[in-house]
Amino acid sequence: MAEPRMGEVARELLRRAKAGKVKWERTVGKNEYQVIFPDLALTISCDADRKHFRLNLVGETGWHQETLEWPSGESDPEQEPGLPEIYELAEAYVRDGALDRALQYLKQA
Amino acid sequence: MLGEIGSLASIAGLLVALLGLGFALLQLSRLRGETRAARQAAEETRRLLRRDLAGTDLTRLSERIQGLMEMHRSGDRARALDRYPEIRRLFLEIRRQHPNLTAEYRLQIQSAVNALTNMQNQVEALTGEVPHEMSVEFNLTLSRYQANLLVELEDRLQ
Repeated sequence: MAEPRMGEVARELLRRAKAGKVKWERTVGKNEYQVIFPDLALTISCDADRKHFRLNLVGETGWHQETLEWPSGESDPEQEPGLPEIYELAEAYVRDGALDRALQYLKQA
Repeated sequence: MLGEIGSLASIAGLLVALLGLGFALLQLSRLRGETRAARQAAEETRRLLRRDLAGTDLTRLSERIQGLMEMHRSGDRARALDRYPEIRRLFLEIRRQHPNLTAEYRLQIQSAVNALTNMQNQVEALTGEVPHEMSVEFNLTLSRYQANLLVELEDRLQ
């Protein structure tokens, strides 16, 4: 039951990330970004080849509660939850965010 | 004659009753004032106690983080693995004890808890000592929590 719900979470996360409404931050994990909520978090990560992606729901104590992987053996390509795209958006947010804000501050000053 | 005496006695009785009632009301008012003062004093004591406890918790947390950073530097994997849950528990305890913390502080505490679990998982997966590169990255993250989050929490809670 968890995977369809996580697919729903992934699609909503993608929608909000595309709208620029997700505040991503880097974690201490390799190739991993997270968005924090008051008592849980979502992390998106990929392997070194950027071929395998993973979305985790992290509970209050920091442990993974639910996981969605892509590609998975049973995945229907039509139902692709957009994990690679979420990862790219997170990466771009962290990479470009500081530069964008610095430029914005400079222009306002 | 007897009727007059009876009336005077009734009036005197009424006066005594009124005096008694006034005295009782006065005592009641004093009692309420004393109760209010006692309640305020107890509340103030509780507030000071909470502040001191928060200060103690934050100091202990900062010391534990400092210790963990030294374990990372010396590559002491076994002791570091014991320390992550303790620090995580202290962060969660602060959040539990202060439900009025703003959303921003709650987010930062959650971020710290996640970072500690992440570090623990990575160190657990190692076969030897904590590598230097990993130690540097972990300690930079811990320093940020120590220098920003803990200092801000101290201001906020005291």
